[in-house]
Amino acid sequence: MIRAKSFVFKILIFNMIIISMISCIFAIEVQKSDSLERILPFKKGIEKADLLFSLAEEYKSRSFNDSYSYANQCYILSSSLNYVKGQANSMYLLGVIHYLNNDYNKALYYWEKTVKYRNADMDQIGAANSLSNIGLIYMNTGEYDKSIDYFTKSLQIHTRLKNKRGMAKPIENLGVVNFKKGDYEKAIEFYQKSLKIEEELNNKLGVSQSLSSIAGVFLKMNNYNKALDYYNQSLKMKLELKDENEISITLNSIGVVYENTNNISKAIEYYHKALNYAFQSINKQNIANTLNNLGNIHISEKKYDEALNYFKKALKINQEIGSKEGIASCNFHFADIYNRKKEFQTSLNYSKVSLLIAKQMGNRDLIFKNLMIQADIYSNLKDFEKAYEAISEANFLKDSLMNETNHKQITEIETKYQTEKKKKEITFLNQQSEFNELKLKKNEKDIQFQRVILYIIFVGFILILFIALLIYKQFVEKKAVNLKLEFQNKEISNKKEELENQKNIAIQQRDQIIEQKKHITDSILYAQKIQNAILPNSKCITNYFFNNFVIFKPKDIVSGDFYWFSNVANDENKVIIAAIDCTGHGVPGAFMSIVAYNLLKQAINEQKLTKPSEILNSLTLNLNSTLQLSDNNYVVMDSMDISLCFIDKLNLNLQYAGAHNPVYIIRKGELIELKADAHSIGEIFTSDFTGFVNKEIELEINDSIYLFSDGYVDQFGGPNRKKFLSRQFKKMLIDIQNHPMPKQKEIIESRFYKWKGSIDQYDDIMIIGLEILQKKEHMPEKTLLRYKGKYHFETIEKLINQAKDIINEIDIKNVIKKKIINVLIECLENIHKYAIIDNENADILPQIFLIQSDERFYIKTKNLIAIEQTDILSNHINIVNSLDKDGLKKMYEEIIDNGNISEKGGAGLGFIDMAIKSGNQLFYNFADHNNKTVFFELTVVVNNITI
Amino acid sequence: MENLIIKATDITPEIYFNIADRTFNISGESRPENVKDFFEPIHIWIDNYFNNLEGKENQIFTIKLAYFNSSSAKFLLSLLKNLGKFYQSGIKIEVNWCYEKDDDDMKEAGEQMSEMAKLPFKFIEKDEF
Repeated sequence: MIRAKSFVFKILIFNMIIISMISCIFAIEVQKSDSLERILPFKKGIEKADLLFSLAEEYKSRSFNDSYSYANQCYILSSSLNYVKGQANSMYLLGVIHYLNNDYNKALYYWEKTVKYRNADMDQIGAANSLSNIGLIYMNTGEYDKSIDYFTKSLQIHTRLKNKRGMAKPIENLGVVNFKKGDYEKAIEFYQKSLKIEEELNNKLGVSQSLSSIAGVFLKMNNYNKALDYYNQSLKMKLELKDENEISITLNSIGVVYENTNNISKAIEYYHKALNYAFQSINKQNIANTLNNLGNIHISEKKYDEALNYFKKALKINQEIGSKEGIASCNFHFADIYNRKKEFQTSLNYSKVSLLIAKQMGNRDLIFKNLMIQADIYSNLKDFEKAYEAISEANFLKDSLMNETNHKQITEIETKYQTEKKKKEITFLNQQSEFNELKLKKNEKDIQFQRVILYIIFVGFILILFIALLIYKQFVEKKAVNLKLEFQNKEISNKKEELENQKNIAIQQRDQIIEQKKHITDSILYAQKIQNAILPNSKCITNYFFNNFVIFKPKDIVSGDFYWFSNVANDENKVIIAAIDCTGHGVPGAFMSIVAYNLLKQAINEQKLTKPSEILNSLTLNLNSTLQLSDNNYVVMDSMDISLCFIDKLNLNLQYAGAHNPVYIIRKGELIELKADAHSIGEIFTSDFTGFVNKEIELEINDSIYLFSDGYVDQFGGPNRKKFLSRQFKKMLIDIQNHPMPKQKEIIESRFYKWKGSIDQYDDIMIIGLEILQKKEHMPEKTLLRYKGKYHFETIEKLINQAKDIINEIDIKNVIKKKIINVLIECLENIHKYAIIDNENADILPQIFLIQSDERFYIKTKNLIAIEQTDILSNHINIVNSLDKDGLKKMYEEIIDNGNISEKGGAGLGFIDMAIKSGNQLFYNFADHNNKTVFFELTVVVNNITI
Repeated sequence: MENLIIKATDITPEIYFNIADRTFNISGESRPENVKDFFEPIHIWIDNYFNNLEGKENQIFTIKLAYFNSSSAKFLLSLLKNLGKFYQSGIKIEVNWCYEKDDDDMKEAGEQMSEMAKLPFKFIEKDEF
């Protein structure tokens, strides 16, 4: 059983190599940017159809439903436009997504239609590609001959058109299908052809893959020397290409060859080499496969503890990549090893886990193996009833498993037979022509020959009769056995019912898990809302830096990255801005980000620190006390990197301190880098590092400043699946300097999608860009209206009339005047409705200011409110600030339509109205008063420009 | 039934509902201290009028507000929704929503109200208010 298992596994590895190859053959086009969706409403006609197709393409591997919907829309639109190419494109893509979904019938339907449309569009290459795709379907459904037909048709078209690149695919696929059929000679023949073409095309990766494919066939034919020879050739090329992922695959295969020749030490050596390369590449699947191989080989060497170690590592990686099959398989190996170590209870536990997952996936091979091992364990534990149950369930499965393997073997044998038969036919024909000559010469012998034939027929007949008798006898015996079996079957079917019940329980548990998963996703989505509320609004930055952008792309729904933006002491020239990158992403990262946000808030808003190094020092000390780092039980795991700037626009000065993350300033095409300290927030200060360093630089007009987390530069992608790296990032920033910030954002984003291609986003991404603009002639602020005094409803009237009179004297557009008055009314009414007013206590009377600066008006109010109101109020304003104009309108509609509005109005409608009318974020602050009340300060800004 | 005529103040609009002409005008500023007290009688009057309406002539509403505060918005919407209901039932109602030149806020507010009330508006830009 041990040998059998590792054999099955090697086949599995082998199949994986084949599968990865097929996915390479299958055309995968470059993903396009999300921004496509935004321009969709502006496109019409054929352009729109093409855009829909691009969108469908973009979503094909991410979301079946989205891709399906876009492809369908594309088809409908194209049909109405009589746009045949669009029809063909959408049919092609519908085929792809169904193929990826393993729905081969539908994929076949769509691709057959694709061929029709491509032909109607005179697109012969397209038609040929679709024929090749249909071939793939038949290959997957095991209809190899049909598959060969289609590949051949595709090949013929490409050959006629002399399209070499197109020929490569069907030829390689013909190799694969012949390999699957078991016709190894033909498979090699095709792989050789594909090798030649790839050489002619000078496609080194293709050449090396073809070499590996040939080696794979030799391995299957047990021709280890040749296999080794080809694998080594392939390896050499891959080493030249420096493609770690591919190198690792080939090293692994070489390991398999050595293992098959029982050269265990060499095999281990190669697996280790493969592991090294797998770690360098980002293909975790590859790491897991190699660890698996190492585990297996150590089992067969009876080095169980080492094997266990490898499988543990493999398990960790499988968990990271969410490979259920990998997890189940590792758990099975644990069970296997502990069973051998005679630790039966532990073994049983692991096998149960593995079995549960295998059943969820419907992986019959693993279910069978687990049942067999459980039967073994139970009998070792002397629990024979359970052992019997396991074995009968396994037997039940075995039949269907056997049928599959048999089917495979039969096709293989059949193919071999056919090849042999053809050879024989040829020799037979040759013989016949010789025979004819003989026939003419020796007629007498001919008669004798006929006689011999007659004899043979007679003897044959006797033999058949004899065999028939034998079969009859067996039949009679079998009938008796069957009666016995029938009795046993009844017993088994009782047991089966019990098993059925257990299965139902398993299904129930599965549904429960699905339900739980939904709950979890819902709460993460809610967490996202909370996280969005702590992020400053981009409008807020625009108030200070007219030319800016923020790129914020969490890897998952919530993010470990976030950014901070605040102005210092209500001075519009002084701001603090920071990019923060907490360890991890997703939920753990988000938790850390909330901790970090609170610490920053504490340092900046409460401690009123402005010097970047002091803020970072404060963060370190407070983070340590928050996470109790002084307690030695806690290992430093959670930390954060940050780049933080204090910018004084008026005096053109920037101060910076950083933990690992630098800040770039680009001045006249030159990049100035302010380097960060190599110390994370969260690492304890030591005698070597006593605090962060403050750096200062004079700014110039038109300087561009960039803060960012490391997600962008660490993204894998490009032709060699490498990191993007800082060098390229810097060059990109320098190259895009002639564009305004919003355009820079577009370029940076599209560059990112192009770079990562089909690879997943690796980490959260955040980049902030700001430009220091020429200051306008500064006009001193002028207070147009100031009021502090008793407050009644009539006061509103009085103040508004005053304000109107004052504003009418100023030379600004009517629209602006209206906006100012509207905002003022809402502010004043809010005070009337919600403020605590004691007209006898002069200290707490409401205050109202209307201030004019050169380009904006400020409406400021200060009034007392109950301390319980602060949470509701700040929460409400934060939500208002997070919404754009459409969002605000929607919220406004909802409230006036359904909202629970008291006679006073209310439900925060006033704030929404102010945000809509002013087009700006609302600034607020709470200032301490006593333990029951606080001062609420609100500033609304109305810009003196209309867009 | 009598005409409904309420004179304008600094904080409430003029209401001029003339049955004979079938013209119904609301104009001025709306930010009453107690919004409900101001709008409720108007709401009741409109209900009465349309429930007893016999002719099939156009009923012309002209709304020309320089300003309405956020608390008025709710009551104004409820009034317009009521009109929308009558309009949907087949009564010919024409609504002219006037706004001062360049006052996009007021125009957009009208568009929003029209959509929510399921009642088509005619938008009229005025130079003077």
